[in-house]
Amino acid sequence: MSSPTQTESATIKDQVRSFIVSNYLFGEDRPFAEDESFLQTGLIDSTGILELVHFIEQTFGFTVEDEEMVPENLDSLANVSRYVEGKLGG
Amino acid sequence: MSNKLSRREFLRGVGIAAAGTAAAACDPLLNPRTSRINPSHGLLPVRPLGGTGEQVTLLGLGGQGAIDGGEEAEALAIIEEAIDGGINYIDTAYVYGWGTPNPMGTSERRIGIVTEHRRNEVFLATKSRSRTYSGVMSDFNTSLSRLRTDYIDLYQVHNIGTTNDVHELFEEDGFGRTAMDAFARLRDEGKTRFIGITGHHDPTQLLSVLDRPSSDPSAPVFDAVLMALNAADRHYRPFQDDLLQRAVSDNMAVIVMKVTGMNHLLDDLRQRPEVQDDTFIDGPLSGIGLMEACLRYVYSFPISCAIVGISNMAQLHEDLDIAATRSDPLSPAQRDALESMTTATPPGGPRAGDWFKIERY
Repeated sequence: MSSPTQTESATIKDQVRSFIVSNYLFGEDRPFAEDESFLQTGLIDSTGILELVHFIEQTFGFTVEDEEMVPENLDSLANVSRYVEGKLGG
Repeated sequence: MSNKLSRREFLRGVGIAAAGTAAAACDPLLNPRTSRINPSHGLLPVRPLGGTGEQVTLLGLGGQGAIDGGEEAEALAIIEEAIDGGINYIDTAYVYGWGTPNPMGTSERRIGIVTEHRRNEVFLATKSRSRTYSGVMSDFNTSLSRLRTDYIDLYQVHNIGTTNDVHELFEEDGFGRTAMDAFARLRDEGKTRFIGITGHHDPTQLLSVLDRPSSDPSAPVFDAVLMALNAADRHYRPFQDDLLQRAVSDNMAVIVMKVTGMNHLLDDLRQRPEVQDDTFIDGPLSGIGLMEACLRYVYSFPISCAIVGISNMAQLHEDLDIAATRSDPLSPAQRDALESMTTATPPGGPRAGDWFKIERY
């Protein structure tokens, strides 16, 4: 599997952002920073993280292992995008 | 909370318990599955847990919300209070807990602190989302350690929602073993008394698992199904039709979650003209509170238990009070009215219906 191109990276980020806006911002397209912590801002709690994991697995076609369910991979838009790119490129 | 139980509720609870006990005594398949739980405190109505021979309280405690988040002291107090209030069913999962300071495993760890000294008062259910034999076995041992027990009552395949989930559950490793084999072995060896399956996205995927032939025709594939159910269910991938009916006909326990649909149901209902101060003031549901309506909606189905997430002690007291004193099924007209008020489409695009299958608290 080749590494995602710059365009593909933007698509990954857009897809994740769209999921978050739809499911956690109640459709309100308020801006949120790419490095904004989902947990610290209360945007996504523990149940929400499981939903985000389900979305990632369904959308990008790989399994998020338990040991990968850490803030470094999932706690911001930037972290999620980087993690997904790494998995797809790995 | 009120600990009073109406005569009608008391008789109903006793009647159901007696009927279940009689059925268990007559069924040789159920005799080996003797209860390990002391009789409930008598505060809450109980129902048979499918064909397991157990009686569980209609209201169960969910292991998220304040249990896997927030302050440790409040979480422990809520778990203690739930058991004191009569709840004998607690549901958790290997992965519950998130980030800092309550990382994955927080829910099981906190529940274990309380149930270590109250183990015979509680039916403990937990889950593994691993999809390999060795992964499930590893998760199970970790869960035992966190929960400070040497057996689990109900061990569940966590969140089957896609065809890939189903495929992985039955995919053989290099030794010819599947994740499903691990669940079956744990039950065969008595490390878990029962096994179950859970999901809240797509009932057809759960049905496809149930349709798989059992390696041991004398044993049920699963003893229980945990599914999403609420008043919005009928409008999108309904769980209450084929899956619930299949579980009942196969004598599996039906446990439900997402009773308020991530609170979206409550938020939507608060916008209705028939609702004032969280209570219906008009129509077939007049005089009934929103949370009461949501709970009584699911209590109207042939379920064993509804697990509800709790975000604070006040919520727990409200849910206990409803279960103890006002758990009558809604009438068909009341159910229809509630369903008709849940058709508003949230601005969530193609996954909009999923909003009501998931729940934070």
